[in-house]
Amino acid sequence: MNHSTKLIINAALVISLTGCVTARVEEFMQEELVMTGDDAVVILTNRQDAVVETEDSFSQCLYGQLRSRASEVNIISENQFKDEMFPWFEPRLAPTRAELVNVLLEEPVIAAKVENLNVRYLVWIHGESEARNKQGMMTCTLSPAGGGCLGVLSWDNNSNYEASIWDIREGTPMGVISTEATGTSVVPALGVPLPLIARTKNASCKSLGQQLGDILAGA
Amino acid sequence: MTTLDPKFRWGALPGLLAALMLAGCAGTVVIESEFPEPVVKAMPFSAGIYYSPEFKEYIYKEEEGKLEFELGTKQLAVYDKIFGALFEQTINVPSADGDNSAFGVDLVLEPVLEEYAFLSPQETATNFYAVSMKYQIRLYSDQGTIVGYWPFVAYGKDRKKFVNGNQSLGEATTLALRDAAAAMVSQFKGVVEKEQWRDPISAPAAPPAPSASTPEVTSP
Repeated sequence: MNHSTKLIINAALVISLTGCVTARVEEFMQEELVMTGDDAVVILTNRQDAVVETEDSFSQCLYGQLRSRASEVNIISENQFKDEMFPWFEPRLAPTRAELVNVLLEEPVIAAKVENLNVRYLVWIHGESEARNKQGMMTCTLSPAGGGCLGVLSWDNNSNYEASIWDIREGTPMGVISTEATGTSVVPALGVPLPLIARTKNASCKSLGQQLGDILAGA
Repeated sequence: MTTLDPKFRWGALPGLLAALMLAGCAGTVVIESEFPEPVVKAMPFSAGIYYSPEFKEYIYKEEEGKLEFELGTKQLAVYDKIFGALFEQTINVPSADGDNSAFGVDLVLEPVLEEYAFLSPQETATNFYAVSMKYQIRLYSDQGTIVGYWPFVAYGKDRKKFVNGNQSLGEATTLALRDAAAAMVSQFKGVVEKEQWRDPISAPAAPPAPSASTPEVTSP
């Protein structure tokens, strides 16, 4: 590969990481979180919505953000918690409101398991990212002699997520943090496509992770 | 920094891309075969469990023959876990409708998979693979008389993966099996606890297939 080809590919990679994104976070806490000792927090994604389902990649990203921003807090991942509580947090049975946690905990074996895990707060993540308003055209050709693309594509990226915090011991909602990130992705191509991707999901993850991490670290 | 071997033939690139695309299409359907221990208090009964060869060795095969995967051992794994957790004692019995009184069981259960179906993202116009598994749990007395049947449908869905759609299908099927466990723990437990099976009446000719109008719990 010659030097100029390497340069173009590297430039494409760098530019694709720096697409313009606008992110906004809103927080509405009803009560302050109070954690003691080994109290744990569980991150869960809402799987009961027939239309909207949070991406696994988002919940994994958020889990990573919280592990680094609130490192002293015992954070339990979704898969671990669902396995430990199997099958009570499968979509068919997971409580849909904070008050319904009390009903679940009336069953002694479930209450004992929650106590054993030291779970204090559940954080339910709901939302997803989508691409809209796709426009433009690009033609690519590939042959043994070589190939290339010509044209331009663009679309709007939009990410909306909400984190609802429940106190599992009291069965009460504690607050909601929501985040919205928007941006426009463009891929111009004059031979080599140059993707300028608006990474709204990543921006939402970071902004939500920062806000939630600060709340958990201060609890 | 990684650089390409100078001997790399750019002319081979189209072939490589085509091979990658074909590899994506031909991915295998991987279904989880290990399930967690259910958090449930066991009922004070001894249950005989009968798994028919059709259930244990179920293989899904598309009519066109393009897709084929083994499902029997996976569903066996989840039902073993659930029955083992729901009852104080479980015993595998050689038949459901034979005399199992020698095993000292209170009742005999037979899970039947009536239908496995899935919809691809193209068919649903969504980003998801959706799986449904239509089951019927048949309840027999220890003498082999059918005393009830409980139909239910388990569901699972998974977002389509960029390259390998079959991976999403496998994960949606795993979620449907987990949903079957959720249905069993939350609803079937109540069926057994009602102890309708203690008062068998005459057996029906054949249990009807579940439908929208079929009540959740039926006794002949």
